[in-house]
Amino acid sequence: MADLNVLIHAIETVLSWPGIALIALGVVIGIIGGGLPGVGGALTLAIATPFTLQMGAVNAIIFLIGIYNGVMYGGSISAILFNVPGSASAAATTLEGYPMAREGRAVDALTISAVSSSIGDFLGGVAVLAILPVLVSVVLMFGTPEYFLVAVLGLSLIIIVSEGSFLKDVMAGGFGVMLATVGVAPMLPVQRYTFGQLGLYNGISFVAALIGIFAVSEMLRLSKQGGAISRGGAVDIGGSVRSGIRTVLAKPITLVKSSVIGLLIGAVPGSGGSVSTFIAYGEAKRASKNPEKFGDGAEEGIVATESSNNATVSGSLIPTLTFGIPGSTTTAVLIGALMLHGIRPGPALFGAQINLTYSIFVTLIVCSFVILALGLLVVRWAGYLTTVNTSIIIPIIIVLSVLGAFSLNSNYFDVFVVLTLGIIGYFMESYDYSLVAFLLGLILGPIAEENLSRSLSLSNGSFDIFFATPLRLFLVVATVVIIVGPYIGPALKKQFNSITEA
Amino acid sequence: MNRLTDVARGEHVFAALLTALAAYMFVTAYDFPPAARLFPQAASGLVLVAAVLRVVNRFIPYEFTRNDSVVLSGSDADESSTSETEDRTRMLVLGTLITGYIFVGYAVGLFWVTPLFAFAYLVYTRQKWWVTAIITAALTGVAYVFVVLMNVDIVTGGI
Repeated sequence: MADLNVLIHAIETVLSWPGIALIALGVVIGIIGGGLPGVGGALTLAIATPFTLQMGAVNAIIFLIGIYNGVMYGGSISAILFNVPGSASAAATTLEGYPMAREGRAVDALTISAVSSSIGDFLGGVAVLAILPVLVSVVLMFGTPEYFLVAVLGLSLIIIVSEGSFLKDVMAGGFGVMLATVGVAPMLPVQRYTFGQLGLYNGISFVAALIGIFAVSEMLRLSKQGGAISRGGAVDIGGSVRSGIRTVLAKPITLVKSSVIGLLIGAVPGSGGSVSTFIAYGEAKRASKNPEKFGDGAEEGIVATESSNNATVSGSLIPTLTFGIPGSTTTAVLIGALMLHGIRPGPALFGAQINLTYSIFVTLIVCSFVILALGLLVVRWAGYLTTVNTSIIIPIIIVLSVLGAFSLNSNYFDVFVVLTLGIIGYFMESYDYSLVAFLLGLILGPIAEENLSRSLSLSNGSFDIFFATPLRLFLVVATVVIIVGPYIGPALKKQFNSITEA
Repeated sequence: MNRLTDVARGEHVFAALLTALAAYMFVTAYDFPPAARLFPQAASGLVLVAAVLRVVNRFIPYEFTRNDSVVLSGSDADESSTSETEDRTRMLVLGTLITGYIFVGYAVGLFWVTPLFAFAYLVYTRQKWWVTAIITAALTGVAYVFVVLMNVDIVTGGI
């Protein structure tokens, strides 16, 4: 009953003024940000975050969730029209979207994308709202020692997110934790690496760091590209909205299956839309009656990728809100925005601030309708977005980033952080150091340290506290398995195979 | 081939700087009480161990990587050297302009430098005069919004 009251209150909050307007504005900004390759979700959110300082926490988060959803759909516009995915999660959409556009069915493809994104959003939001009461009881089982262990588990995920050199990613993650230790130590009156600078006492501003890492470094990279975003040949904006809608509604199983895939994979930290879309695409192709059509403009492919892409948003918010572990780089920025408004992911969001949590997921459902309306409205004009010259985007993003960073605390220290981390981020990405690993370190380092200090003061310095309950033991074992699994697993498999062959 | 060497050299310098920073943080952490030094030393120690393993890995091969190839990021490998130089120059000019924007902004106030930065970059990238004028005016308007609506003092500098 209490949950129902909270849900009704959340619906009222989201649907009342200015909630609904902020969602619409957020979705529009998100579609623009997502439609511009090189900009993408994390950057759009990082730049928008300082503008939310004047809003209340609930309105700010509603606005940012709107952007997050808009980005997920916007990424498909340039993927379909010009074979250039606006974000990594839209990469799979190029496989079918661009061939459809080349056939003169761009409106069909964009409509399928808008409707599928909308339904993916809706299903994801409803599913998480349905399990939220269960999630609340699970989260409330977690105390300080569990949060330390979850943070360590999250840090060990660097091994899973590592796609290039594992050692480089460990260095990136360690560097993130190193930066997070600057400032006053938790629960101790000790300053660390502040060099007497007042601006460093509270540590390095997380949002400023994110703006530097995403905005400045990305613009430096984009400046090398030059010219317009569109690289492909001209595409006729042909086709019909009505036939696009009919196509999506004729494929309910693909829609539901892909949304579930997006939801589940989104909930795994470090994976996100880029993984879920390819899995959903593969599954749609496997289950299709006409798999040979895939690659030549199969509508089912877009239905699968776009519904799973948007359902990923709901999934990725589960570890983000419950344990503060980002499901993707975009949710990492969202954590920064929450912290900026004094909200710490964890038990508080499922206790005193439960209304905010419900509002977030109600926003997701409302977003699905806004995306449907706006998506269908813009299909014929969406192509203009990708003709924008990158040299025009760059000064806009830089000015918004620098002024936004300054407005965080009205000091120039945050602006210097933006510049420094922008340059570092550029080199990290150029030399294949994982930014996701760096962010995991930056976000989870302080959570781990604070909860370790608290746990040890509860146990008078004894580490036995981390093995005292079955849940804690499970978390320890899970961490060990994640760390040693990739190395011991193949060896054990080899050993097992040789025994069975003998 | 020269480019590959450049990337490798740049990468080594970056890794060395990261390692030096980790070594500095590890050693100076001894000035803190034990409870406050645990995390800085654990993090910097991890970076140092990973750096050492990367060096050792050159002599004792072990698959620490899923993809050992050197990644040439930024642009396609078959681009001409002229184009590469132009790309790099554009990036360096932008980097210099951003640095100038921030430091001069610190000296005199970001509000006054914002239109100059936008104008300089748009002129450098040879945009049409009316595009340059519109974007410069719009960004000056954005800076004004920060001053008036968000009450942020970017009119005076930090010195």
